[in-house]
Amino acid sequence: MVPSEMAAVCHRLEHRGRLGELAPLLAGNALRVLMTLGGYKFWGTARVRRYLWSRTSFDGDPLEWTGTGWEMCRGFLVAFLLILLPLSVLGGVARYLILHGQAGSGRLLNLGLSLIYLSLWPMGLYAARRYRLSRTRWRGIRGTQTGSALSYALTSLVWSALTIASAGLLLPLRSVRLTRYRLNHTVFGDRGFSFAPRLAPLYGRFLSCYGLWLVGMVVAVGGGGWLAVRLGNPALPLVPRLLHQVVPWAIWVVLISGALIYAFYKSVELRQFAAATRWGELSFRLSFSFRQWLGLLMGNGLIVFFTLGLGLGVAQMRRLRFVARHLEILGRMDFAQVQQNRAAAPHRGEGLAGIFDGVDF
Amino acid sequence: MIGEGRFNNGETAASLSVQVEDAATALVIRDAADGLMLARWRWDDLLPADPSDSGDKDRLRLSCRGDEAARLTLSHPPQIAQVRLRAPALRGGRKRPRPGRRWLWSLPAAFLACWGLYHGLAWSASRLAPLVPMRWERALGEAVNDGLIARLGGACHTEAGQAALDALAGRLSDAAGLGYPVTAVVARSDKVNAFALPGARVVLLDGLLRKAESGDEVAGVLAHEMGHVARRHVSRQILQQMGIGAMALLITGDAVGGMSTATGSLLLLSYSRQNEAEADAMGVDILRRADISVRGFNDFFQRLAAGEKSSPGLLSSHPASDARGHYPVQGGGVAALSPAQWQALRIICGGEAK
Repeated sequence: MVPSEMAAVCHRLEHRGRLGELAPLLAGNALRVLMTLGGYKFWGTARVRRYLWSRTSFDGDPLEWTGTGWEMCRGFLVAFLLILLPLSVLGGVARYLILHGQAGSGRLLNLGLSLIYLSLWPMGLYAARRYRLSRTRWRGIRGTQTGSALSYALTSLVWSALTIASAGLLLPLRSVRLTRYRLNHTVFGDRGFSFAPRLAPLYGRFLSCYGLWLVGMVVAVGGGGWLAVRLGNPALPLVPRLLHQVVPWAIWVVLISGALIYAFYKSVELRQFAAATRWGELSFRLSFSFRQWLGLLMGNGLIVFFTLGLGLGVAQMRRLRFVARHLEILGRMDFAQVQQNRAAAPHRGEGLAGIFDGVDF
Repeated sequence: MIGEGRFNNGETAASLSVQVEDAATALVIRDAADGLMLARWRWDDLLPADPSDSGDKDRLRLSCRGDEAARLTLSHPPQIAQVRLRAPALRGGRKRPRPGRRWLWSLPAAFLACWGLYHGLAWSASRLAPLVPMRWERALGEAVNDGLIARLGGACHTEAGQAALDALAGRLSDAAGLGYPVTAVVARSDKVNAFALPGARVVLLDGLLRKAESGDEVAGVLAHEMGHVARRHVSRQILQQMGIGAMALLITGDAVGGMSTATGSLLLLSYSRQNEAEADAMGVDILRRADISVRGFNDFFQRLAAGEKSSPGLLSSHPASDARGHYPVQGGGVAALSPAQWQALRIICGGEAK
């Protein structure tokens, strides 16, 4: 092959959504949701997704959302009637047991229920992702996600427990494990994604973030304590003074700095994960600065916060725009070799994730 | 002959260059390279690939009823115009009001709906609150009150002080005609505040006792708190919180987010200001019925206002203090506490008598 043919081809990922078009859509949705006491929500979500997908294009051809409100409504009803309702009833039973002398079995039941609830979240997310992939088409080809939501949920639970037990040190491993499961089971057409991250660079960055946070915490809390001792109210005895004056703001410092450093690590992780992902001959590269990433997160947070959640569509659009702007997709791919996906598509959508809401892939 | 286009056959992800022809009843799609017919779509079966097709003149993506995956893309305006004319489902696009027009009806209507919900929620919460049995509030109180009081520094107790407080509380609750006893305690905290807790309990903070200058002023605050109890504001606020959470759940489907948003908090604070104003009015009414001078109530809040640096406004849970101390004083009345009772109450948390 001639060397020039080996040169990487850069594919175009664009998003042309505009607030001027989206906002009336959202306002209309909000009104209809209010008037139908929430029933319209599913169709509203479908409308927003159709708009956002249709404004996103890869190599000039737009994505299509082929899901309907009915599918999501059915998914919600099934999840509600078959899962949440029985769980609430069991929760009531547990409360009854505790109040009427059978505290032991009541608490055991509660423990079991907590474990079930904890696993419902990742399970719901996985199933929702499968639904969304199966309803997304590009050039008529659709995607899917194989694998089992249950094993994903169990993996998630186990690794979360391990991460907590290790005081957070196993966080990158957990991230890798779960992302690998998701991506290795994600299929578009008849080609799956592959995910092969390099652990050493990832852990290197993680440990420096972790260490930085620890050091910063010790300095801040220690410094605050010293200040409180020197400048605080001398009338109060030492320990209460420390508690009153150091603990409240120390908690704030720990939380805010922790959140910022965690966001920083996540941005690094995202870039490394993108570089480790392949689909067919295509490779991915995300290049953004932490400031841009932070701007995206905080902007979205503020938007959702100040609109009682009505602005979620705007947050989704900003995220799509961010990805389109910062994601490079490289590689020579013969799309004629990619066959249509023949896997059975789920009949219902979203279910649990529709209840817990808000999270996209 | 219509012209060039790009075709996805739904079997592979290839984008094929095609020639599109008009064949009387159908559209024929031929491979541009070898002329092979790839698809034949009847005009009546043509559909826009994007259901919210906006009549775009520069770009048209078509699919065919019966083949859910194949797509044809046309990019020349004359072709597109031609195809739109021939295919019933594509004619002129759906009638869409321009985005400006959509704002015109949807925004005001949305505002109206929100206004209705806001007042509707307030109305139903205040109607439902008296129906909540006091037993339930008391049960809630048993679960939370001890913890709340402990966080405020714990209850203060001297025989004489508590007796004075009980006497005053009894006199006020008789005047209010409540039908259930209201218990009052003083908590050991420097702040100037008082609370109505679930189950007809009132907590006064020591800082407030120090700020007050007479038994009548304390009676004014106690009457205000009793106004909360009489109007069942504790249950009402719980219903209001539930209502806001339910609204948020309906609108966004998120069971957790509603209350934690800024709007939820602002709504709750505004309901709270209404409740406080109502408790003021009710408290003054109780004072008059108990034959205690309203002057104490006025004096206390005017003194508070003098100490406040700025007007609280939207972020406050209470109306501004300087607006609260202006109730008309009618007649003198009997002092709320005897001098001995007042002294005993002042030192209920320890400290010297003044």
